[in-house]
Amino acid sequence: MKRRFFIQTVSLGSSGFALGAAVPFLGSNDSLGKKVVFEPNLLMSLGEDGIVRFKYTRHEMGQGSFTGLAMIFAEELGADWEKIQVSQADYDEKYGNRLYGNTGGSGTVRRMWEPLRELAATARTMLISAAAEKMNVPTEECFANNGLVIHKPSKQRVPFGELASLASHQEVPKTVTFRDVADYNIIGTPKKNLNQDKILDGKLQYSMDVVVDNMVYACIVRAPIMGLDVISFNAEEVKNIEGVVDVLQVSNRLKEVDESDTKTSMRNGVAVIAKDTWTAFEAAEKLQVEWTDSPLENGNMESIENDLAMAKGNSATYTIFETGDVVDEFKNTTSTFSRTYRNPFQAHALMEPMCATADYKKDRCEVWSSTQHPNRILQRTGKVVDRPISFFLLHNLPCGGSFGRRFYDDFITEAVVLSKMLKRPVKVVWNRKDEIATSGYHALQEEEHTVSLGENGKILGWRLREYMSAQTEELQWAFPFQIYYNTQRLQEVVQVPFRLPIMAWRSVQAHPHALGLESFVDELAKYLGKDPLDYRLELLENQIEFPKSFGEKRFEVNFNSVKEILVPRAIRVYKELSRLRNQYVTSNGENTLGFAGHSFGPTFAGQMAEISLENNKLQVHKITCVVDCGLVINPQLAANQIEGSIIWGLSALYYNNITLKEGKVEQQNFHDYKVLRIDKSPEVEVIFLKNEDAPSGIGEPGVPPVAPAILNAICNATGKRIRKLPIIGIDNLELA
Amino acid sequence: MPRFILNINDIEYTVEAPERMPILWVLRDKLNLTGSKFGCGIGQCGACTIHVDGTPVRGCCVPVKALEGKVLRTIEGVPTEHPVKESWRKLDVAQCGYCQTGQIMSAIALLDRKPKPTREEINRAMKGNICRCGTYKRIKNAIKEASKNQIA
Amino acid sequence: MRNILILLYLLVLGCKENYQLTEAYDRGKEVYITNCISCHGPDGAGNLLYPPINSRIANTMTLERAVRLISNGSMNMPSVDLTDQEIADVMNYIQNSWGLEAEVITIDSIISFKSTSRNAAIYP
Repeated sequence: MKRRFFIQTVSLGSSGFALGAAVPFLGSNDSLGKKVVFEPNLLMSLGEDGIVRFKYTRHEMGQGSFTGLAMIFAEELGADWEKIQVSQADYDEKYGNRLYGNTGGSGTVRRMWEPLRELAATARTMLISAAAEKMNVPTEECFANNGLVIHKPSKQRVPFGELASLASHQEVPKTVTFRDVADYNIIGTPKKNLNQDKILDGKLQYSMDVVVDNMVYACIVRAPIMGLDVISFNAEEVKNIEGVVDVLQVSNRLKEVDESDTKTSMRNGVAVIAKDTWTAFEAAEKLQVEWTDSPLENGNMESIENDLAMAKGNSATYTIFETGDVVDEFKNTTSTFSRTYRNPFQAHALMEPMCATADYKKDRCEVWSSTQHPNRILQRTGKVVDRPISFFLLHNLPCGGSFGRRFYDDFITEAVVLSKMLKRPVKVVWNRKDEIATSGYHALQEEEHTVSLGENGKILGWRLREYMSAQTEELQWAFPFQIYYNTQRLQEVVQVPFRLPIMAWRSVQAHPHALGLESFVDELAKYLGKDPLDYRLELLENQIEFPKSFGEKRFEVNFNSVKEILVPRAIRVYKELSRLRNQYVTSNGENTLGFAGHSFGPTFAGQMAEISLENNKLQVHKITCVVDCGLVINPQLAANQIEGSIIWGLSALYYNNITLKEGKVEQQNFHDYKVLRIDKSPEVEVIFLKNEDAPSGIGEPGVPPVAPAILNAICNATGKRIRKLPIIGIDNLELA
Repeated sequence: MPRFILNINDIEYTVEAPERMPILWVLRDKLNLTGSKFGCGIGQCGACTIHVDGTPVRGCCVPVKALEGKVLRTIEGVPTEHPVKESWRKLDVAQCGYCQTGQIMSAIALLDRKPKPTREEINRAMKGNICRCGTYKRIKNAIKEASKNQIA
Repeated sequence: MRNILILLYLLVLGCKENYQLTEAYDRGKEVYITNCISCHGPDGAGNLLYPPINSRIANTMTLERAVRLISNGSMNMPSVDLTDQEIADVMNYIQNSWGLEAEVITIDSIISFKSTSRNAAIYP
């Protein structure tokens, strides 16, 4: 283990962080009226009852970091897990971006790992000096564990609660030492999801469950195409429906304020305001809106096909990176191998449609909703109503799934705008068809891989052209696109003018990348007469020098982290998959296997799919996922994330496909936008490779390998290669 | 507006609502019983599953008028110690949890009909409940677990 | 309902096709509970929002139309994600419940209908 993160001493002065956040004071009361005597930082308070109250400053959407962050904090504090109480913090700028930044990119645990431990270690150090003072022993002879400070030589112990008052008078340390991983007794154990009990009794409050005095309900009929505006609507007729309070036009003023950024903000529309949700839904059905005309390009799937075909001949819009003269290599060689893979438009179809309640008053606007990115959302919503972030009090409630959707501000802006217009609290509820048909989508994208080949199949140059819309570019951030650097590489983007709004979606661009790369490597191996799994290891173990710089600096690709973290992880994962394959073959497994792996952030996940195809009926029997994500905080909830990611990936492989007709999305609900149901869910096994490096994220890495692993297996079984998602006809597979 | 007397979780409620209003919205917006969730509105996802005379139904499809004189049970009426909730808790099934109250109501009704369901029977009964977090594996295992415990 | 089931058992004892029907009926009832009962009711009588299917209409509806309705939906009914076996089972249940009677529908008839139908392309 090269990079140990433990037994590490951190100077707090240098970061200026824990010190700034550490403001010990005496004798306040918390919201329950309990006396709080030790409040060493913004996230924690300790009362004389010994209860550690910890504030969760991210968004809980099922990924489990509500539990995970508390575990990290409790571990570093040396607390008793049974005496931790966790609550969701309302958004407040005082937390800063480091403590209350966005929740996304599988980065909550990764980004909070250092700051949480700094804060907890500071508090622990103060508790220990308080105990030393109380017992009249040297500080160095004391340590904290399980909610007690223990004096090693005498085995005297003092519970945290008894130290609360004394600790608040201790000096804030300038440096702290982190606990050794060997002493961990919370991290690495399967702690229960802290929301589980409330969920099972139907008591966990989601945005959809919010009730505010004097509140009305809104259902909005939104522009079927982004950018269309309302010309007229039958207001009077709808207002006459019993239970309808008002019918109002809502317009996105953001365009006037900030021309640059309207792609994912609220659509123009007409809101039906009613006394209950159902009446609002029903009345909205009766609403007839005349919309402005749209300059339609790419309004149909046929025109999208045409534009993609046209783009094939275009030169690159921009280069992502280039490590040598790849194009020259193409000119000099006669042997090339090229394949193209397609990811379609996909919707989120999260279980809880978007919902926000706002109470807009003169001096403050209170908002109840669920968001992955409170700072960005309030900034953008604030622009629409011309108010600063501090004008808003946002209660960031747990949500019924987000998967990237709640990164965006549209539904919250709608509630704020309507509440301002109506001068009373408004709850905006999205219907399912709103969520499927008038949302933002995962990008339609083509990945074209070409290699030029020399003697013995040696790769001389490797080009990846990506065909995508301009907006998709925003989502290219921070991905080490590739792990294979055996040759000169060129990666470039050709823009295609799709008009559908593009949003982040579980595993984001890693999904089309993995589909392309991991199918291509498999195909290339077969073409060269090699075993695909062995070939991956061969490529990984024979890399050339990594590029020091690359093309235009649009993207933060840290090649050092690729070389030092990802490649070794990928090798470990593929070696484990090789071992599993041997085991399967030795035990006379009857099904066909397929393999794929991909990174997401610093995490690498590889999968082995076991399938059979009898009479073209595809059955995925089992998927085994091998993951290297650094230290696993909670094995139970981490496995849950991988299991769920695999189901997400299967939905994408089997069904997810948003199509357009005259510019409008054709799908409306779960009957025509299908997702995986229980009868097609395979057996799943999750294997975490032991690694004590800092935790590197678990919410998304399980998604990208699913489709290529199964497509590779299908090819192994039939010799036929499918290169487009979704596959057609699971029970009677259409093979190209 | 018409008035209805409803028996929900052994409590008698009197509500005023349009007769076509689905019971889901009566529960959620009129009675503040928000454990039953809205997911699709057309009986495709199962998040709103409740029991009517012991049968699992999608609350978004059944108008309040059809439910007078029936015995209704929602997630709020299932004791915390119910074996199905216990097995859900033991296996840490829920992720976001939004669909889980509906999943539990379907599972309870299944085990009432078939105390020892086969794999196919579990699939057939649970197929109407979608979970986007992808907890299906644990749902299957939790039903098997509850089946064992119910009999024991 | 249980009476009908017992009656069916009595009527069909020893006859292979009818044995098939009883099994299909039981499975079909489960499919019905999961996918149909909310709108069409335990007695097939529908509710204020959705139509009844316990009349002779259900019996006289051609297999073609029923399969199309389940697989593709209509203006008022969303398509239902059922396998061929589940379609056969639920059709057997509906057509033999609430005082109705019909010949057994096999999964083969569903498959062959789908593949020979002019509209084969629209079935998944």
